[in-house]
Amino acid sequence: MKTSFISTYAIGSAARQTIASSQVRLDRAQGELASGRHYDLGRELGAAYGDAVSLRQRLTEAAGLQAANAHVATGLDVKQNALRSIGDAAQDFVADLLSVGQLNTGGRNIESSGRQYLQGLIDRLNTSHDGAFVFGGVNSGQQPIAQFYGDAGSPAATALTNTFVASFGFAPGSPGSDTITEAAMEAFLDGPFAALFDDAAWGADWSSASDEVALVRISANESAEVSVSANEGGLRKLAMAYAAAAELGAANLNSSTFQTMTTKLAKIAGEAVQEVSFLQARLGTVQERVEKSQSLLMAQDDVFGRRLAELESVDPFEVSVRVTNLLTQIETSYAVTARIQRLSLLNYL
Amino acid sequence: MSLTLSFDIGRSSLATTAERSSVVTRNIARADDPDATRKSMAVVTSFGGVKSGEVVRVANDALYESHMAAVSNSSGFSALADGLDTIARSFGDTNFERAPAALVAELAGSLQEYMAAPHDTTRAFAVLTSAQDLAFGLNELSDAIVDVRMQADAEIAAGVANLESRLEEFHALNQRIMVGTQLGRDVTDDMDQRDGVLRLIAEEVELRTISRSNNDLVLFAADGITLFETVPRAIDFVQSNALPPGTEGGGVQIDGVPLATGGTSGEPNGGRLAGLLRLRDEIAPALLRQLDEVARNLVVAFAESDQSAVPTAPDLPGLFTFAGATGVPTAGLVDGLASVIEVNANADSSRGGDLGRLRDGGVSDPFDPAYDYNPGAGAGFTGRISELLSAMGASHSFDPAAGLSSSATIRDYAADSEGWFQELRSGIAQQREYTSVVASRAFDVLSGRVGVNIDEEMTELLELERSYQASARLLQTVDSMFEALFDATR
Repeated sequence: MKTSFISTYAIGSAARQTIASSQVRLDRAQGELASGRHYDLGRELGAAYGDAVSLRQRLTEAAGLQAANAHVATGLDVKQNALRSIGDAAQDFVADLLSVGQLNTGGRNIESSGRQYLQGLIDRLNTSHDGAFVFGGVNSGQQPIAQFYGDAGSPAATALTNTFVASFGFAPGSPGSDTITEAAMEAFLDGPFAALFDDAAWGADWSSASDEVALVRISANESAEVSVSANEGGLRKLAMAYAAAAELGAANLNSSTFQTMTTKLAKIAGEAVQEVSFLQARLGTVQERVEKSQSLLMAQDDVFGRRLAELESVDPFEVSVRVTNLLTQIETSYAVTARIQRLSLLNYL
Repeated sequence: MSLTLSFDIGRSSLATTAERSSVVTRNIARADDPDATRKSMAVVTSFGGVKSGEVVRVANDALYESHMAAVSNSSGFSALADGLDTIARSFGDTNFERAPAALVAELAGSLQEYMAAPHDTTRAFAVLTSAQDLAFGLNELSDAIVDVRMQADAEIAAGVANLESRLEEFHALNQRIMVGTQLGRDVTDDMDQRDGVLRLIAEEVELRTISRSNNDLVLFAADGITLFETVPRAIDFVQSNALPPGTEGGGVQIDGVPLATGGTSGEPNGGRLAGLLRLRDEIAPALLRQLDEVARNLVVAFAESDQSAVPTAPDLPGLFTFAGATGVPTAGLVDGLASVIEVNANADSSRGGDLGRLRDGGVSDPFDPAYDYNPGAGAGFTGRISELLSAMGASHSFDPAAGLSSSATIRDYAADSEGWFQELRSGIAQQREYTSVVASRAFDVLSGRVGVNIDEEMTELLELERSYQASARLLQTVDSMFEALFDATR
């Protein structure tokens, strides 16, 4: 006959198992308390683990976009600054032309200032940022504008002199310069000289920039045209006005032809100023878009981060309560086990 | 009735008490043995006193059956859960990931940064590094899963060997018990031992028993496959030397009938062998197929096409390629692609390639101008990078045989795959915990019913002591009565 419903082995093994499983749970809870995240995320989240992975992916990609946008924004700032100073210089040039036009010594002044402005324009157009020439268009690896006043004769300077000689029969600044009539000068400026700055000649003698548009992604689905090329019409017109002032022997022209030329150049430079400011406006719009995209990405980061925290994090209060309970439970188990082990009939026989 | 008879009865009582106390001693000696059941000895009254009857053990067949079923379940889920945990370790955690899903996003992020400054070699190098990480990540994970399959295969072989030797042990014990029962010997200790062996067999396969006359047992595995009837049945299993993706491992056949794998989570998953078979043949291959599909679509997304005005040349694998590639794989599963996918050497500066090809194209075939996307060689060219980013963000077609959606972006598919796996693992881990609690509860109940309680044995010993004292007193009394009789007749 069997009267009891518990064996000595079962009493011992039950106590052992309770303590062991409580200790495992205590270890996990302590891990959670230290890291603030679930001990075994996959186990805890199940199918929602895929969501957490997906959120992390979005955060990673957004980080890439933000870094890219920061770079784009800096590049745009560099371009804006360069364009601003190009525009300012052009305005100064127009003012110079208008103020010195009346003077007899004006020609020499215009020649020297024209040279400086031309050099300044070329320098600005060759601005580089982070190893790329910002006005190179897609061809950003190559300096966009060749030096005009180099040691070796630049093709642009040679072409200019040749065209002048072809039209008038002598080199710019030569003694016969004062025989050039207003009409002849006007015809030269509109005709052979302007042709030096059309697409083919500009591309051959002056610029190696590309007209191809470089698009950059500024958000997951949005692209923006961030490249500016040195081939833009306004910039070409400026080069034309500066080169004419500097290189056509302005000092040796008769005064009426000089007048005609300064008026003409002031008009061209004035148009150029306007076109440059259009260019600035276009870049400004892109800057605005990049900035908006950045703040949108940051807002997204915030949302994704919060959702991720909801999925992955544990409530520290809840865990600490759990730890306290487990400690109490384990202590109780120890006490009970010890007492049960003492409780034996043998002690009373 | 005579006084002599009283003497005899007293003597038989002393002898029986001594034998019964030996049973109590046996019980106490095995109190810490989980297989031990409580034995007791019947006392038979006969002419001329009492004598000891046969030794019987406390048994509870219903509890034993449910205990064995729980053991089967628990060990099945536990084998499966262990395997899945091994795979999960290769995935890492969401915040420190080597998993393809995170690496795909990493690659997209570095492409974004590269697009902002396509002239920058450092950024091109970052793209290359992310691409290599992704390829290595896929290779490693795929190899890890193949390892898990191999390990499961080896464990199945070990399990089958264990099962065979346990069945031999069972055979010997069963034989002894049958013979002993027929001869009327005490077979209770042998029966305890046989129950212990049975529990070990139940860990390997789900078990049903039928008892026959003379304490003979017949064993059936799941689905009624005969495992033991008079003699053990043959168990066939051929361990594989290698289990590359797409190959199937050998099945376990008991008595010529294949052993089925476990059911879906929630259903009984009887025994370790079934759990391991399910890991090797269902879960691990499904995960491998998903990785292969991710790898295939990466090759497709980064493939280069003929840029001529009138394209005639076929698309070729670009940044991502694989050994022996002759073209871009067409739709449909390519087994083992994830373990061989690699970054094209033509884009890798450390292997004689050119990083600039990431921007300009020509990764597939640098000598064929048809695959040059940037003939002008502009350092600010973003067209190709933009195309790659669009391809990564676009939906691709995935083979439904891999068990997930058939159209998704690579990124989402990789995330889905992880979600699918973790859901499965979570479910099975819960089953493991639940079934192990059930198994230990079932054992506690069984052991409570049939096991030895030392307190009970001690009280019985007290009883026996008293009975022995009383018998001795009786003998003394009879002796003094004889003495009185002898005194009177002197």
